[in-house]
Amino acid sequence: MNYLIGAFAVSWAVYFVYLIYLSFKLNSLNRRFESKYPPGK
Amino acid sequence: MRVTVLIISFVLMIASGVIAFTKGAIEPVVRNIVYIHVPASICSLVCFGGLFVFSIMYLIKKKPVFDYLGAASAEVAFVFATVLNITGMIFAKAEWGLWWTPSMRLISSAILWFLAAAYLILRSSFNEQGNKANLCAVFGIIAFVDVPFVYISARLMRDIHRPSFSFDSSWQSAALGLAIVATIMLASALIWMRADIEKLNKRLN
Repeated sequence: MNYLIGAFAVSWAVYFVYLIYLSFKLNSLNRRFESKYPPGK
Repeated sequence: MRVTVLIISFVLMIASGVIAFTKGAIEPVVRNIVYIHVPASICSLVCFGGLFVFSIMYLIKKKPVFDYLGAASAEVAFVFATVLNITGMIFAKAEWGLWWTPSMRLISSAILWFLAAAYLILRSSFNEQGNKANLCAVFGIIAFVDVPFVYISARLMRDIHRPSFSFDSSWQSAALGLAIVATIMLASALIWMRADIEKLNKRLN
């Protein structure tokens, strides 16, 4: 049972950490892009 | 749209988990790791397939979008290959009593992880866009050679790893099918996000 819980925990942790990393990176790039090229200008 | 895909993917994952632990539980209990291990392995192979296709498309059409999608597929393939190998090692320890053994399926899966890592290292070691994209596309095509080998290794040769998993009930097949669909949707959303990052980076530099 411990092995099963460990496998689930590791896989979900990897997916979530990667998803959060991508979200932060995308948001910061979007902010940089909008400050460099403001919309409507 | 991307958020919708992610939400549907997580809902399907939870649904798969509920089916797996109520009607579709496998005995002994540790074998339920297949519900994570198999989708992760299928997704890593599909991402390598994406890398192969986008690399060929880039070499033919020379459009940067195929380079971005190839790079995104490689990184997501690395993530899924990591989950594949870690859950595989946990499964091996529980089933066979050892974390790893030199079997053809296990070796080819480890090579898959190293190939994805090598692609990412190669990509990060170049600054110039043109050469980087061409070299990475060629490497992406060569790296795909391992994919059919992973698939056939346990089927053609005698291997400690079983070639396929047989289920006792249709609930178990349904749970695994849902988990595979959910993981492929998650992989698509991740590739989409990663390709957008690559595109924005290029525009900003």
